[in-house]
This record gives sequence, C-alpha cells and structure tokens, in this order.
Amino acid sequence: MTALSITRSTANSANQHIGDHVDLAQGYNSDSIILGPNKLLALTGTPALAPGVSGSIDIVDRWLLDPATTESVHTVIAFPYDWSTYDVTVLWDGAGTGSPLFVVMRFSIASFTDASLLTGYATVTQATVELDGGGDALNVTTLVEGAAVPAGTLHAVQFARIGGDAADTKGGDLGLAGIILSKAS
Amino acid sequence: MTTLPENRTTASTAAQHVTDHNALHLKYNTDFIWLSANDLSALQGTPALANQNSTVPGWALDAAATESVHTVVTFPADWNTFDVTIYWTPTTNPTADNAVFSFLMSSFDHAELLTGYATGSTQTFTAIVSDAFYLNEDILAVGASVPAGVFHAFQIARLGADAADTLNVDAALIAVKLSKAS
Repeated sequence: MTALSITRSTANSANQHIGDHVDLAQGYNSDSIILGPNKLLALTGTPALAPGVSGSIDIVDRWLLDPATTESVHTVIAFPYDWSTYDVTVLWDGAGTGSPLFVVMRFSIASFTDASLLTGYATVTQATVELDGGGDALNVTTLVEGAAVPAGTLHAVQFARIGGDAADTKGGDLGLAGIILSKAS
Repeated sequence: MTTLPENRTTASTAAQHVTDHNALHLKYNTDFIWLSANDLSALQGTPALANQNSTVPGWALDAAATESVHTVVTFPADWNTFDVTIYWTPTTNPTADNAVFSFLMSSFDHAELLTGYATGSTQTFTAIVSDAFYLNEDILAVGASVPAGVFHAFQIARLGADAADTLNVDAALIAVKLSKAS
C-alpha cells in the first residue's frame, strides 16, 4: 500500500496531468531518458525508419539496421543533473528473421562544452548479443551498465549495428524500436 | 480547494489519477525540458535537418532570410519562470561571427484559437571562434514567466536578414533547453 497525502487545488489538476504526461513523453522524468525511433536520425549507412503497421506484428516504428555493414542512428541529449552513472537498454527485434541469432551492437557517445564538434564518437560498449524468441519477438537488452556520465553540457549518443563484423551472424535487419538511458547512480 | 483521500490502493478516479501523476512529478522534480533537433519541425523558410560534421543532428538556418523551427511543450506545475538555452554551430567557416536568434511563444487554453506567435526575446550571439563545428551554448531568454495556458507553442528563429546578423553561413540549431529558473 502506498500512502499518499496531497492537498491541491482542483483548478490546476488538468494542467498538471497534461504536464506530467508530456514530461514523460519528452523523456525526462529524471530517472530515464527514452529515445523512441522518431527521436533518432540516421548517421552511418542508409538505415530506414520503418513505420509501424496497425494490427500487424510490426506495430511499432523501427529503424532497420543492415546485416552486412555498419549502420547507425543518433541524437543529442543532456543528462539530468543528479546522474553520476547510467545504463543503456536497447529495445529491438530481428525484423522478421531469426537464426543465426547473433548481432553486434555498439553504443558510443561524444560530449561537448563550448568545444569543437570535430571530436568524434568514443565507444562505450560493443557487444555480441543473442536474439531471443524468434525474429519478431521484442528483445530488451542492457547494453551498458554503470557507465560514468561524461563532463559536458551536450552529449551526442549513437547506436550502431556492426553488421560486417564476423561475430554478427544474424541474417536480415535488426529492428531498433528504442533506447532507454536510465540512472544507475 | 479539494483534499484528496489518503491511504489509497487503487487508481479508480480521474482525480486520483491526476494526483498520482502529480506525486510522480514531485518525486522526480523535472529541472529542464530538453529538445534535440529531432524534436523540432520546420516552420518558416526551408530549413534542413541534417547531420553536422557526422556528429550531431542540427537544423541548418539560413544566413540571408528568417528561418525557424518549433514545437509544443507543457511546463511542470512547479515552474514559475524559465530560461531558454540554445546549442548551435556555424556549418562552414564564416568570415563574420554574429548570429541573431529569437525565441517566441504562444500559449493556449481549451477552445482558444491557435493564433500566431506572440511574445519572446531576440538576442545576438557571437560564435566562439571563426570556424565551423564549434559548439555554442547561449542563453536566449532569462527568467521568462511561465504563461497561463494548457500548452505552449514555441519557436526558435534565426533572423538571417537582420542587419546585426553578420554570420555569412548557415547556423545549425542542435538543441534547445528550457530550464526552471524559479
């Protein structure tokens, strides 16, 4: 049981309700940053953003990342002020294809404070991950655990599939449905 | 004023739903609203969203005409005033460095006409070096009052045709941060 004890004006309730939902939609509830497919932009290669299809097994939007070469997507974020370390969770599927099962994923970051954007991405984690549950099953993979929040006011973050890596044996695309950065400490 | 019941175990009413969300908000205390370039859409002119130096997405805003991008937000209930910070960079090496940006906002309630942008501020910023792809972090508005209204449309424009805008190349808008001032 959770005990709540709140006294507030009802006149403000509707605004508060909408405000809180939008806070969450914008990805800042301070404990997690949610990057849906539409918050990302293609960077490496020519990945396609496949829209979800109502009533199908492909109901959510996904970035389709190639099995034969490196393809990546990215965006910029700011970390909440009270984060020291963070985890990265990847929501993905096999885009309809399963066995062989292994894909190589990379999460990388570049941080800036009034500095040159000529600084490139630095890899935080690259790992070989096994697809569970078949080609259309949602996989929730913690790709990064306890990485230190870098110095800087603005951080570019990139997710890549290294399709050309020898360890990446899964045929067909990887479907990236979202990335969640969450506070570890 | 309505006093809501305590020690509840189910979210069975709209009022409780609202209150539980409020509790969540109070717990997490949102200090800023972050909007990357991907969160914005073109409004004036024909700005292009593209990768800047293969590192960050940004909206390229023209050197010769007004171009702008926008979106809508709501403010957390405990914000009274806010600051606006923009992150931008010249897209090629400029020969002059001053860029003029404006911040405009319009606020709306239920059944209110969605008219154009009304209030805001304009500032001239000097790029930190005469080179492309250096990050500029500039405060476009300080201590602006949170307006009344359910939601708020806001726009960031580069006034490329303004006489004070001497930056002779595109300025790429990378992100906008609305942060709580009070």
